[in-house]
Amino acid sequence: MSELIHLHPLVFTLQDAVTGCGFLAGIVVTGKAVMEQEDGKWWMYGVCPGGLAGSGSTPNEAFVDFRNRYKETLFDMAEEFSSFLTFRSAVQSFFAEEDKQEEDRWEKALEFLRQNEKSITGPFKEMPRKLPGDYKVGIRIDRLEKKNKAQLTPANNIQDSLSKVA
Amino acid sequence: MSASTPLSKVERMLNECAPGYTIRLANHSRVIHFGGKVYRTFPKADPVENGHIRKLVRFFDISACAATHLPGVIKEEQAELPPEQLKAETPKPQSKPKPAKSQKKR
Repeated sequence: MSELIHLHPLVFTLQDAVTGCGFLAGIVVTGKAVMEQEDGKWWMYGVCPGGLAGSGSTPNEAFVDFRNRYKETLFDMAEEFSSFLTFRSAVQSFFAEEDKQEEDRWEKALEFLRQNEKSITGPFKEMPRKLPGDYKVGIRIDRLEKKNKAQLTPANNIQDSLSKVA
Repeated sequence: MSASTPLSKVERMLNECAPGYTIRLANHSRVIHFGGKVYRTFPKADPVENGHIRKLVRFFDISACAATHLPGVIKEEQAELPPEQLKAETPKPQSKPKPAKSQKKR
């Protein structure tokens, strides 16, 4: 096979703890993105959140860059907004602001992938795979310092993950 | 760094394609407001890698206009292509993506 899928539809999950002005926020996001090769690099473009991109020489590097830019954006918002409520509102808006063109690309890439399963090659072939029922896109923002001890357990820890959608 | 474009050219494009936009510096990035939307992750670096410009243009939905001002940067949107064109020649093999475990400092 001389051709392969060029645009890869992905889902990711990230967990962060961010300190703001008098609060500690716990943020878990499950979002969508696409990845493709452009200008000799791999680019990961956010669908939700829509205003985010990262790049690298490998897909994994692009994911790490995307992940770091997301975290830096949370840090910037923690600096900009002086209360937990305004910070939470800003983060929710950041997540919800859609990129319709990227959403279209994600949907078309998924449609193409489903029709050409055997075209998946390279690093994406071995990548974990999620079906539509395996994930729920969304963001959860908790005020961690207000939780009681019983609510703070290691079971809350979530590892960063990146999966292809099928 | 991959292909990139001077920030001044991006700002000239925004002046034409996103009239009334505002841009300001945050700690880690530039924050751009336009049309009721906020793009919070535009790099501080100058020049700007073209992928970030393409993302910004899609986010603000100004691709058609931007393509006339930055023809070498903004390509025809793949969203408008039929699915059979969402494929390309095989690139070099890449390493397997793994979950990000550590944060690199910028």
